Amino acid sequence: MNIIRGYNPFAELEAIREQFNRVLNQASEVKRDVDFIPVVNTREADDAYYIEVELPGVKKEDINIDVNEDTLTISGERKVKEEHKEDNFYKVESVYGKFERSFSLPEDVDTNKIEATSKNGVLEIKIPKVQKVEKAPKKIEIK
Amino acid sequence: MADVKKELQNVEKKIEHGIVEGVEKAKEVFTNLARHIPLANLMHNRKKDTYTIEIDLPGVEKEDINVSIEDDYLIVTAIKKMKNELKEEDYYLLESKYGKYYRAFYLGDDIDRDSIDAKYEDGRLIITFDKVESKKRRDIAVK
Repeated sequence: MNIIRGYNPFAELEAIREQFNRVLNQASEVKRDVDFIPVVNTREADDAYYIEVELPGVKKEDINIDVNEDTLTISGERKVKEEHKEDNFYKVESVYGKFERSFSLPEDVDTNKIEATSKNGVLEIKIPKVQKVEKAPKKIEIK
Repeated sequence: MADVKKELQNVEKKIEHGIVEGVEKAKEVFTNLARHIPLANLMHNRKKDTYTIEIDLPGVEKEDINVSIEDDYLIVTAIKKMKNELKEEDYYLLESKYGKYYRAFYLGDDIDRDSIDAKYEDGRLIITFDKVESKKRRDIAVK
């Protein structure tokens, strides 16, 4: 059914290499019952750390975010939609099933204030930094 | 003497302009080449005789997706932009692919082109087609 025009073999090789690296990097954390590892971007801003997770086709209700001590874990499942349950799939490239990915959190974060939003299939997790209380320099008087 | 100097400056400006233009052209060519192939799932529902194509485009705005039919091909193009004026350097880990996405799907004779329906939800473009009426499954009563 699909004949690809403008095919770039190098792009695909690159993608394979990246996927492979990702699997290797995560090998120690990956559990045996995980079907795929989502694509992730991480960055730091002045007030918070951000994690973006690409989860196209995953419903909000099927995503879990857990914080256990200094590890943040995103897990869940990409399910086949009800209306397609009886369909014949003759090509599946985006993997269905369970996913999981973990991150160790830096020390200066406030785990109680973690927020998550989801837009256009990208989950964004905001991990605020602990607000440093500016201490005014104090002068000690010598008695 | 002053004329010669002016003339030289003019030539210099022209060369500079030419180089800038050349670099811009080269950039444009390269960005056109550097396009990504989105993941797709193809399915067919036998009962309803509908074909569905799911294309993963996480993080892409709806306005940046283009769907067209040319000859016997369904062509999907999209541009994935970095949000909020963020740059590559702002990220620690950047696994997402930004830029142009392109994929073409061959449409068989049994696909009714006019029945196309496209929607974008949870980072996924979902395109459905009906089967051509004359080729739809029908039950014939035996007399």
